[in-house]
Amino acid sequence: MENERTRIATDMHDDLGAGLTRIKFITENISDKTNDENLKPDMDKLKSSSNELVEKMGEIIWAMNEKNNTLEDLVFYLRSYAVDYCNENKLNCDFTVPASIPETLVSGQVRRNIFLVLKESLHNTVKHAGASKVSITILAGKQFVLKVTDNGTGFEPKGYQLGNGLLNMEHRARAMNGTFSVSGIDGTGVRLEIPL
Amino acid sequence: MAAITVSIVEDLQEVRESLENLIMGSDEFLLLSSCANAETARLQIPKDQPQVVIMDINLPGMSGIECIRKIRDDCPGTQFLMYTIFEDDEKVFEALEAGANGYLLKKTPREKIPEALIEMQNGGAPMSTHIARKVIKSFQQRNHFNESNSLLSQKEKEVLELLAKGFLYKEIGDQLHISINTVKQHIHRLYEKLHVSNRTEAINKLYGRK
Repeated sequence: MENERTRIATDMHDDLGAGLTRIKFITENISDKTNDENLKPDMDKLKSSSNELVEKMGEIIWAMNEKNNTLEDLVFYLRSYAVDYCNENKLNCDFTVPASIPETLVSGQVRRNIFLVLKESLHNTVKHAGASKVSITILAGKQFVLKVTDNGTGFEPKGYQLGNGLLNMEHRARAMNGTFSVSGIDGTGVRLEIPL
Repeated sequence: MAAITVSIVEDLQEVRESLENLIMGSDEFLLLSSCANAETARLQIPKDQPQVVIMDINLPGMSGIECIRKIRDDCPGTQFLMYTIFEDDEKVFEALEAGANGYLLKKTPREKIPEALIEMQNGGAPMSTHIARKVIKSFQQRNHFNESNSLLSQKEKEVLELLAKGFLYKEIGDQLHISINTVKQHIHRLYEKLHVSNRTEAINKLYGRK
């Protein structure tokens, strides 16, 4: 059953990836053939849209791949994503991992959810916080803890609507039998804690 | 400086033509051949002996990986650059093990492709965290990584380990007190040693050695 799922996913992944790539290249061909500056913003959107989709597919496939199932694989994947994303968005990134990581296995579902929580909180920091620095800490004992704190504007706890994907993050935490909390003093901090 | 000779192997027409136009439109490169499948490439490339081959992995019929295996020995001066959609693909790693010298993502903006080709010619290559982890596992499985039996130099091991831990080239450079360029050159050598490691294992298997 697992193998069948993986095979279907791999085929989809390859076909969709190839299709999206074609779209990107055809868009470039159109760009080359026209001098119309009005078309440029939409072309750029097409290109970045298809690149984004390819990236998202890659993320799904990474989580589904059973070969990436150790806690160590997860931690370093998170680190790699975070430093790359922060670098692209001119955010100073401080990433702390435990000195030694337990040899625990983590299911694809959990890996995907944890990754998405990290992704969502970093996107929020870039979009809303007006921050220059973000600190990410991972702890791995009996519980897996992910803390993401930025030095941005923070928010008023009373007036804060759980928008900005925070509801999403809370759902993901609960799906993993974990907890999710957020604080808005001295910047914005999110904390995800799940049992391993 | 003489133009770098290039061959292309890519089945998607839009992609192949885009690459052709890019290479032909530049004085730094000279396009020798452009193939839409591995079967043609297999015959054409050993005749042309280009310095760089931009090779798609997913080709109709024979794959790009199989193609490299078959022609690599006939093209000693050629470097193979895998042109791939996904960075964390199993197939990218397989291609590297089979003899590819680096990879290039298809989402790379067109303007950046020439510099990637030149970088490869100058002995540099990229490597993602994911690939680094697979490279380490590969060396470890073949016992080419530990103290007594290492194929790798100390610096190469350090670069590889930091890459596997999700560090950026800049961070690695800062930590090891080397330039980003030097990091990339270590990676280039790591790929070459991966080929050697792979071959050694193949030969050992052939002769029933452990």
